Amino acid sequence: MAVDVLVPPVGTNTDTLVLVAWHRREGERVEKDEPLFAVETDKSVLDIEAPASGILRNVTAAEGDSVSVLARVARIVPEGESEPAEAPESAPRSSAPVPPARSDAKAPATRTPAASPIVGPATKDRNRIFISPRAKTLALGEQLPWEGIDGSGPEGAIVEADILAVLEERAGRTLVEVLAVDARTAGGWWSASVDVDATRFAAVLATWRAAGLAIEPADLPMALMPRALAGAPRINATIEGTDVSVWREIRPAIGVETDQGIRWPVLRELEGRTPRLLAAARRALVDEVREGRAAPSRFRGATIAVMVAEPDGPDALSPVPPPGVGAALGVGRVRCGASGSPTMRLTLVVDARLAAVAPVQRALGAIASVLAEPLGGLG
Amino acid sequence: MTQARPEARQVDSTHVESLYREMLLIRRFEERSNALFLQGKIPSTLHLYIGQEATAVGVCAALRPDDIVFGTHRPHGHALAKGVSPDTMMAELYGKATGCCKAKGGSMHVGDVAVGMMPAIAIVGANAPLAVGSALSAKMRRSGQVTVAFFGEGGSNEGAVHEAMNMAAIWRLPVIFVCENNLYGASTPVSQVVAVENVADRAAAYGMPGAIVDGNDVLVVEEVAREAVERARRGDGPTLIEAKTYRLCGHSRSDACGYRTREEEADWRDKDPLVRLGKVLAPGVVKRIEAEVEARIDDCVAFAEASPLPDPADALTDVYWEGSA
Amino acid sequence: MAMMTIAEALREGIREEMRRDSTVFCLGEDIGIPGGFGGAFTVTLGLSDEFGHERILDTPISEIGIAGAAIGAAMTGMRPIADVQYGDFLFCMMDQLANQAAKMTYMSGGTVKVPMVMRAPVGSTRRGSQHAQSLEAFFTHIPGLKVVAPSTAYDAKGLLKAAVRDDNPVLIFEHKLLYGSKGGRSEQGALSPVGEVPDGDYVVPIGKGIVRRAGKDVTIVGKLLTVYKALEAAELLAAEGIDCEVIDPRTLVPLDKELILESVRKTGRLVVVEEDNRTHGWAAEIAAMVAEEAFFHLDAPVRRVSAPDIPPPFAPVLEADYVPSAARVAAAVRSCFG
Repeated sequence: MAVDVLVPPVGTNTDTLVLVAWHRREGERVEKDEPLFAVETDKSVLDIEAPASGILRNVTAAEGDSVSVLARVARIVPEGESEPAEAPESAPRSSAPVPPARSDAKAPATRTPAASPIVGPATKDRNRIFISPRAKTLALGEQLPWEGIDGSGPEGAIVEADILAVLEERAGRTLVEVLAVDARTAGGWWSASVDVDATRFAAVLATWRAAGLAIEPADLPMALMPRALAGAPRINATIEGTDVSVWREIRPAIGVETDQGIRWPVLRELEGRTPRLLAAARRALVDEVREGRAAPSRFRGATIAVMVAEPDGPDALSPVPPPGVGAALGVGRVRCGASGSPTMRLTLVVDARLAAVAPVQRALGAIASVLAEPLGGLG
Repeated sequence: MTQARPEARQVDSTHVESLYREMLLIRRFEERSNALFLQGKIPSTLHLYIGQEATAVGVCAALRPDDIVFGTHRPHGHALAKGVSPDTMMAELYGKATGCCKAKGGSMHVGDVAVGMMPAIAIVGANAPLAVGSALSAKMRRSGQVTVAFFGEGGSNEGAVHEAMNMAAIWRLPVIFVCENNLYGASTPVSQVVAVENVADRAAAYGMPGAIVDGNDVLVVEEVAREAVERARRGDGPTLIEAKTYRLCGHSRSDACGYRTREEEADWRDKDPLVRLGKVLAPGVVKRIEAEVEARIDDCVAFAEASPLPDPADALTDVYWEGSA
Repeated sequence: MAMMTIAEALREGIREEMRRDSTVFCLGEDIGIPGGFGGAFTVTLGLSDEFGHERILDTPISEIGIAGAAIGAAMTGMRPIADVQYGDFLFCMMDQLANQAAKMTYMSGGTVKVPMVMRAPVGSTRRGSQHAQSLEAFFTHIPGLKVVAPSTAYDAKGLLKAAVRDDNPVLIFEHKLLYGSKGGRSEQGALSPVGEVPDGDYVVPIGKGIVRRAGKDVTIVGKLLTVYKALEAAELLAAEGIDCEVIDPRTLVPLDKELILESVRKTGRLVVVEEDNRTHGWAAEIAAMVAEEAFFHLDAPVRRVSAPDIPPPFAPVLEADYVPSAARVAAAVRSCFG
């Protein structure tokens, strides 16, 4: 029986990897567990072992190709057997089946995509983008270009839900200003830290908890973000190429640690929500991500990134802003400082391009003073 | 089974004149249509009734205006004999909007419900069950109407005809099956396709009387038809009449009759129904009727020529019933 | 109001129409024989007691004759309700239906009407290929005919009445497993839906469909038995968070296109279910129509769930794969999503 050679979901939070090298060629004999091919993740290059012994056949990916996680890239045929007939790919595209996001109804339970009776070209032809008529009509009407939008529909096509997700994230976002930066500023991040007296921060947390509010340390900085950023001009910005776009609305990507690494789902509505509701929303989002239920659209639309250490976590966090986001705020755990009073370290990591146009030290100072005085000096 | 004899009859000369006029009208209509077709005025092929006029005229002479006739793909004779206007018939052949079927039927479907001529049925034999339905309807409504279905000896072999004759007999329906045996179904001779000597021999098998008649003697045809009509109106059920006749023309316009001998055709030309009945009339009468019919044909051609073509949008109407009850 | 099976509802409809209009009569095989079945599926049982054997007319085994007699009677002032014992026998009378009844009004230039009804039972019931076909598609393709397919008792009575009163030839397709025939004529595996049927006169208009189950994620269109398969599938899918809208067109010709289009505009997805073989069939027409008239509202390819391109098989285990099941419908719905 021939055995499929699949791309395993290794150490990455994306759906595609680059196959950088084959250690065996078509027709060569392969031993089980020997390194068969190498893939590049965002961290490193990994060797993937052969799942069985036999002859390598039906190699469908070349060195340098982007391959989908769980896609079949070859087959191993027992020696002496004739070459198996080419069977259509049937593996799902992502490691966890993901239902399409809907803006109004609750997300349906996990659905495994059934094999479509029509083996469409969508997954094979990289040069064409497949979009359903309904989605295309919507996108055209909203003047929204659809290249680069992930498709969650049949045969990988972009469907209405995908367009709606993008529109939703755009809706209500007000551009404050767009700044062009020198291309030579690109590359690298600017980073600064400050220790903040966390006495009143801790006290507020304790008071709210005593009052029965289900609030964790991560929730308080989130609740304080609007005030904190009010004194931090231009920090709430996204970057594309040499364009820095500063937004009025704050859409924080919250850093969530999972077994597969750090993921950045976006908390959509910040302003106007009570701390309790914010806490519940944040917790629901974290659960969604950790349980593999979050649709791709959940990760779009961030204007700033925030990561708060667990109470037993590191003293300081220097999170790198996810792609497209200008700045990330890291909040270390509340610990006992040299002076004996509670302290926590804030780190602001800013994309070099944003640092070229924003007063980042002033921004850090403003954020720090708000976090130090959560109740604005009212006690 | 009866074989009618022509000698022992008294005929009213007015009636004979009217029979002659009707047959001549059919003859001249067919000849003129043929000529017009050759001139390109009539767009479709025609199945001409030349030579068989006595059968249609004789049978229809025995009918009331409200009796029903179902014709065949060769229906011009049946239609004119039953009273369809030559004007609207010619207009229909021309494909004009004033045609009896609004240009949607053509030569093989001419008819006029108002005079009891149903749109002719071009599927050979399919009119027999329809005639049974019409007779059933008349019996249920107690209207006293009689229905006639014409078909050829070739058509008599269709399954539909057998089913119809059996149903007509078991229900004693007021229907008359008239088989016009013109010896050829298109090009195939009757002896090759009918296992019995006469189609009318089958009547007994269906439980109804059969009559064989000289289809070219209009007076005899009328007499036999009257008997069958009275039988039907009395409630005594159906009759099968076989009229022996001959097409003095091709099956359709594209037929050179290579399957018949010239001797046979000459033989039957001597039995031409018009010539035979004409002998009973004074020559002056014949001449007068000729002139009247000629003028009538001129009129109907003029009517057709002057009539407008149908609006192409009319092709989409009348698929479903649009009239009032 | 009474609870009735479809067979009972048809019978009541026929009875009321025959009382209302003396030109209405029935003709078919074994429909009025004393001590007989009342037709193959008991629909005319007992009617000859009230109306006699002239108006409940038993015919010889002569499908061409039955059709022709009905058409000829309809052309001359009567309103016959004819029937075949099995839909497959319609093929025996094809010329009469397709060349005579369907074309008569047109080729007469609109001067002759054919107000007849032809009733036909369809559906696979382990009787073998020649007593099993669902063949509506042959007749929905013929201009000049109207075609209805009632799947509930309420619709059966209402559509029967509408068909009788229509001045055109109307074919009524009934499903053998939906009749609810009793006693010796009951069917194994029948669904026999029983429903409320109002007393007295009412009509279900020809040309109007109905939404059997409202939903927003996908439109499923079925006819006769497959309406029930679709509803069953909808229940399965509801548990998975997919909300199905199930449409029963009730009339196949003229089709309530707007009902289907409105639904697809809302849901963006369409699955059509038919107990008939797939290629060149009824579902193909619905799919083409929607692709033409609601293309820009489609979020997924149109799916058809049909029988395979084979004559209906006999053995139950083979038949089970022939007739679309709720599971197959559900699978087709799921394939409309990612």
